[in-house]
Amino acid sequence: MCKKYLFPVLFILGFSSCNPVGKELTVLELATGEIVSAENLSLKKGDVITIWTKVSKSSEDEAGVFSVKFNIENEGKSILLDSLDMRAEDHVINSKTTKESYNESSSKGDSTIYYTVHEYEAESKRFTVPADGKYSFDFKLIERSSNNSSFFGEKVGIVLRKS
Amino acid sequence: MMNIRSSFSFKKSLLLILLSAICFCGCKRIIKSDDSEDAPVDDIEEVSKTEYQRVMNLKLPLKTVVIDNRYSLTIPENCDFQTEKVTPEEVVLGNIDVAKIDTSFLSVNLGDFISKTEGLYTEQVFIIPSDDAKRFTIADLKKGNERIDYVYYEDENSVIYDQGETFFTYNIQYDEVKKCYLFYKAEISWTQKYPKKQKLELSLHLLKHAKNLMATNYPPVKFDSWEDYVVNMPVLEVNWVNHMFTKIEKELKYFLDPDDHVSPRTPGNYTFVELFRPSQETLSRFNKSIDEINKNLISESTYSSYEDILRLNSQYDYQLREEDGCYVVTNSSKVNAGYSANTFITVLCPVHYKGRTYILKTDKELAPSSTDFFVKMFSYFSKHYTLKTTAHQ
Repeated sequence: MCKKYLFPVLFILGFSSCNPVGKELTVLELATGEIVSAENLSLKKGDVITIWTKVSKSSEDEAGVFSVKFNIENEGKSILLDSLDMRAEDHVINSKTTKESYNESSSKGDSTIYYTVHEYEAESKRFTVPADGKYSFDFKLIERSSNNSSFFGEKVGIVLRKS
Repeated sequence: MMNIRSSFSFKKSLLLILLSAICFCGCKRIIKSDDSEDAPVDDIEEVSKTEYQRVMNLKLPLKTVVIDNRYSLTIPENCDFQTEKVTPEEVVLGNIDVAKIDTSFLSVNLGDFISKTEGLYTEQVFIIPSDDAKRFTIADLKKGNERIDYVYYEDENSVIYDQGETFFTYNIQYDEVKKCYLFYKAEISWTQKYPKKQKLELSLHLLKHAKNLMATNYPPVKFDSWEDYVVNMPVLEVNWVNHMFTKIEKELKYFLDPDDHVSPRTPGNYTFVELFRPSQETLSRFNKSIDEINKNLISESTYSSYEDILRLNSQYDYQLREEDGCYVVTNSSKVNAGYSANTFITVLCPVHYKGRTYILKTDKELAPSSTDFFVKMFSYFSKHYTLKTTAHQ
């Protein structure tokens, strides 16, 4: 009978942590052309750091084309230099859509314009820590093609989680 | 049979309770955690004699300038100044009743490159005419309802104190010959989010500026290298420069794409340095521009692209000198009707890294007094690919 329950128990235990995406280490807001860093994170060998891209898009804007370069350093030496796949949407969490509005005045009178904002986090990269130590994560958002209306702006951020 | 069934049901219930308990205990919400291990400790005390002496003994090149054709002030060599007339109502000097002063007086606003670019602090010298050498004292400034949270330093004519996160430095000197007060006031605002310890050390440097205002016999000194600047500068300013150059260093080593350039932003969201990674074509045009200045061959027809590192304009005269591996270009606008002449300096420095050539360039119009600072800074970076030195660490 024990064997009969072993699998369901392990299965439920796997979900029971209620923290399946790991512990949040930091949230960084990216700005085009600027290097933004999470510095001196104390990590242990075998820790898995997942880099999530946090995106907020407005239906009012055409989406820009972005790429994010990143660099991971330990003891001042680069150990991984790569780019994030901004189109990766295999594992998406914290997705929500909200309805927003603004007033517009014209010669025909005032009107209210409605639009939606879609926010979500997508898993972009996993990094396994090779040795105990302090690590820095640098990110640079590069806009490959811009759209003209940037009032609502597509916001891109990074969430680092450890599991 | 009943026993078996009840035993089975008991085990099932126990298992469910156990699983529920594990679920409940393990269910931790994801909370953004602050890394308390690295949180800065910010308890500071009054300035010790050793610390005061250390700062007063640091190297500080000085120059004497004439104000309003009447007064002379001795200020740091890398400072510029602007003079304006102010009325007593416009000025706050601690708790001193300035309104009793019955005349307008001169305010001399000092500023070096960093304080002007980032607004890290303000420095003013008020020249207040008076026949009474005992009219203003530090005691008057402090008394009454002036809010003072803590006095970190005080002597008979100076005080450094804070109001919340804002640091004030005052110094009062009387010029017996000109019959006037030199009232020095410096303020590091609460909006500048730096550790109090660094703000206090900067205040001591500012006090040193104040104490030199009437200096006449001072030895000529200059900074020999970037390391020399670093050991003699306030820690806060060194960190400000390093913060920006850490990004420049990473752009150079990892991030900057070919034929692209970047101007990283300071904590106050300003820029002051550009890094170019030019294509062979852009680099050739840059070298051609340098050559044209050398040969004084700039003409209307000189081709210029928006992406050029050094865009020449026939409305300007250019002078070039080479120093410590840098190009120092003096740009002087030709005087045209309706436009006043404008002269400023641009410092450029080639950086050769892993077989590639990059160019560092100042992106603000520099005054001659700031030029040496950038020449030494760029020169150090071009050799070490970082600005970090062992000083102040």
